Amino acid sequence: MKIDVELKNVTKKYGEIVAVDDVSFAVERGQFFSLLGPSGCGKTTTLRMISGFETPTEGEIFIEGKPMTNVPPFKRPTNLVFQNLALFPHMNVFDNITFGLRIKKVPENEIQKRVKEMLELVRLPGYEKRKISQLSGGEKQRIAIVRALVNRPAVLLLDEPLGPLDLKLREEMIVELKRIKREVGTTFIYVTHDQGEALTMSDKIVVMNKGKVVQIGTPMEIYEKPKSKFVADFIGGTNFFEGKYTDGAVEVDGLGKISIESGAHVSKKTLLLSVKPEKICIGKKLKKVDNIFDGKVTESFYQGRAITYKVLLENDSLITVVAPSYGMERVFGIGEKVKVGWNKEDARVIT
Amino acid sequence: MKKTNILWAIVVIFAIILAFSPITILFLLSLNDSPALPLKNFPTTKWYEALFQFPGAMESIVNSLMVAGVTTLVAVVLGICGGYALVRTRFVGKSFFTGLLLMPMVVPYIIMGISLLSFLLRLGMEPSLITIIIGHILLAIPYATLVLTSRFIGFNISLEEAAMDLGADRLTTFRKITLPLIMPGIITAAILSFIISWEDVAMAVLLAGSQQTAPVFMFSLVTKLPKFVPILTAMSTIMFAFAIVLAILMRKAERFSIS
Amino acid sequence: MNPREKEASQSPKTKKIELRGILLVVPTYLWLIVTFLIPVISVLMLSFAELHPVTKNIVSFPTMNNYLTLFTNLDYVVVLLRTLLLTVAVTISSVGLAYAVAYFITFKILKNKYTILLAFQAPYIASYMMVLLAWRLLLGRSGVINSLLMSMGLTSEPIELLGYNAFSVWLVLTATWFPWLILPIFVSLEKIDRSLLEASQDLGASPFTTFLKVTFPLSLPGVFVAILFVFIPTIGEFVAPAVVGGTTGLMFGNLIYDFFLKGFRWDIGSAFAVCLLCIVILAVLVLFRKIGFEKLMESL
Repeated sequence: MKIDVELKNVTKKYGEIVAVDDVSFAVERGQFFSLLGPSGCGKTTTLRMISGFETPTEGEIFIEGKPMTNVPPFKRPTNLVFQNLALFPHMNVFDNITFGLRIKKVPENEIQKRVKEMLELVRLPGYEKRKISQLSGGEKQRIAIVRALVNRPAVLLLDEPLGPLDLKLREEMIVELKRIKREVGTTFIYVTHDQGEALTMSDKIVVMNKGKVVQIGTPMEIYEKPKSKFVADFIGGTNFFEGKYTDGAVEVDGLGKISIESGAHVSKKTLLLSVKPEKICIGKKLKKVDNIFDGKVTESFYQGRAITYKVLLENDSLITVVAPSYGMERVFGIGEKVKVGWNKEDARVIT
Repeated sequence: MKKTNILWAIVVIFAIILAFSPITILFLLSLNDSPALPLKNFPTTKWYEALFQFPGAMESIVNSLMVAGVTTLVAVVLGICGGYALVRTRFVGKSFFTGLLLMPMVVPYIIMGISLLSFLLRLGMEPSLITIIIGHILLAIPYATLVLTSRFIGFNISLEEAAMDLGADRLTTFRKITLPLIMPGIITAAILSFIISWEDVAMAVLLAGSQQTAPVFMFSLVTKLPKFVPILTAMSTIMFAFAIVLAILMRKAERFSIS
Repeated sequence: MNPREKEASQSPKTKKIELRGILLVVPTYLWLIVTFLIPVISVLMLSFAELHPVTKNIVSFPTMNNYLTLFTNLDYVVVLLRTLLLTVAVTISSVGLAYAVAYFITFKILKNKYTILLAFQAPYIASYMMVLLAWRLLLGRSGVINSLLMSMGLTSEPIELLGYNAFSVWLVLTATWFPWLILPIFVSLEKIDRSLLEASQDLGASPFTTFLKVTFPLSLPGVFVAILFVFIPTIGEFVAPAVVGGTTGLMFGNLIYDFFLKGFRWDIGSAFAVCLLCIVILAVLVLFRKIGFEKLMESL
């Protein structure tokens, strides 16, 4: 397994402000690798350091095994798809796409071939002569990707490319990106604050917060096995329960005992549990569920495929329950008394 | 990397020298005994004294002031009218008007000057300060109107509507709402018009009669009586100092009107 | 009348606006027509007439004699060519220098950009004439530069090139024009989206290639404004040549000046003026073709 990009203890400071704090990770060849985190967490700065527009204050960056920490952007085997696309307004589509190729003095027939291939890949054949101002949002997106990819970089970097698109277009583009990635096979490094995007497309995710790496893992690991409160909450939201550990269960004040998996070893006496909203059942009567509690519905949101409930428990804590609308006869109303429950294995222990 | 920085430094320093050395030398020379370096008897006020005694010198400065003053007044008023009309009213032939307005900016002074001169002379006028004023107003109108047009474009009309909704009539609205809000534009237009008139040589030289503005005075001295050129160094210093004071005052007025 | 009533009464209001608009622009119209349009048209007509040198009566109309006078007289043609050459030279050098300074201010200076811009124009607050005077004193066989060089022992004789001649006219016009050209070019450069420059580098272009292929093309509107800004006044320039041009630095504008204020041959002078105007119109049209009217207006 070849490593295409590696960061070792990379730190970036702007005066007193630490934007990126001792970040290390390795990206394997052919991976779809995402940097995920809230605004200001340092993911964009990290990307800019990989592409060469910022230099790390400390630490080293290796691309294809070679040290690239101080190499200027025009000498790196990376290409960046900018957040605002940065398509050259004074050139048409063809000139934009071939800009990098011409600098490298790629022969003319090769240029023609690649452009044709690429435009077909993104399903925009024949667009060569169009002006940038004539393109729609989704088309501009794809041309920006083509302009970067056509240079056959070792690594393609994408800086929140789907931000300005509307929902439907974004969903289409996610599918497109996955397909392009599959066909081209280049390593992708993708920066986003949208966990939906990251979870859908990535092979591996680095979750960042306040400049630090919080967790690295596959989408499933990040989602199902969060290692910190931040990750548990940031990815998909969650319900937290805190209490004393006694003998296979966690005792929460005012609520009762929540039985957890026996395999969860604990050295501490107080535990924090995370239970994902979609793992909680809701109904008038519940059977065959390990943990069942009484609650009162305070809000309900019908969302088509699912219904989200806010339920008040007996210890006055508010939990979120996401129930599939399939099989539900009706939506529970505000003030209704319901039962909520989940199985042992659905509660994650957060150290 | 460092090589390019040195190159930039050279170019910029060269530009600065080119722009500022002439007048610096001028100031130095005005205090110097002879109109050339090296410095002799530095500093001396003999040129300033000669200036005050030279016939027509000080009058020309006063003339410049009067001409610039009248020009500014007329140009700004016309600029306000034109700007308002272009932005807030409808009338036939706006693009023709705009085109005509911009034409003086693309015609060399010599052509505008001799045309105006021959026209006015044939009407029976004598070249005088009045003819200069007429020419300067022509020069200033396009700029004043442009400045005020852009000011009106940025002006929020609902402010006037709010005033009228609260009971103010057109004149009161204009006085209390419109005028104060366009004041920065008025001042900019005024400064622009004043400077255009104050420092103009070409039009003034063509349209001047026996009464001269300061630049005309300087020009005729240089071309006809080169011996007396040194007193012009003193004159320049005075005019420059005067203009700086004026500029500072106007900037203060502008800041005051924006707040 | 409150705003709601205003919206209701469309028709009489429209007429009122039309009237107000027309009334407001009448004074400006009048001024422009009387002091500009009519005089220029008169000059145009006069160029085709021949006037009696003494009585000023029209001897013949229309006639091409005045234009013939210009084109058959070698001295005049030489001056015209020299003027064109000088103007092009001044345009190139002043726009070039202004571009360099504008680029420096845009990309290498982080604060107080406008203050620095204004500083370059400071000398002109007092008068164009003042700056010309300064140059007159600097140049010339016994001018400041020459006497300084000689007193320092660097030269034994005054440098001829620095006398009152065409070279000096070029030098002075470049030096006096470039500060004014910095602003339009600066505005154009500032507007360029910086991520375009980053994209260019990301695609492999060195900083120099980025300038050539991205920065410079995108700054062209400002450059064209600057070119117009210096070309038009310079081609009609007569003050600077009179001050530092000596005998060999005379420009076309001086000829026109002489005809109107010294020789009183208004007919010939008009023809010369019309020729100049044609050159200017040609230049403006060519530039507008290249850049398009809207883009030019935008950058203003």
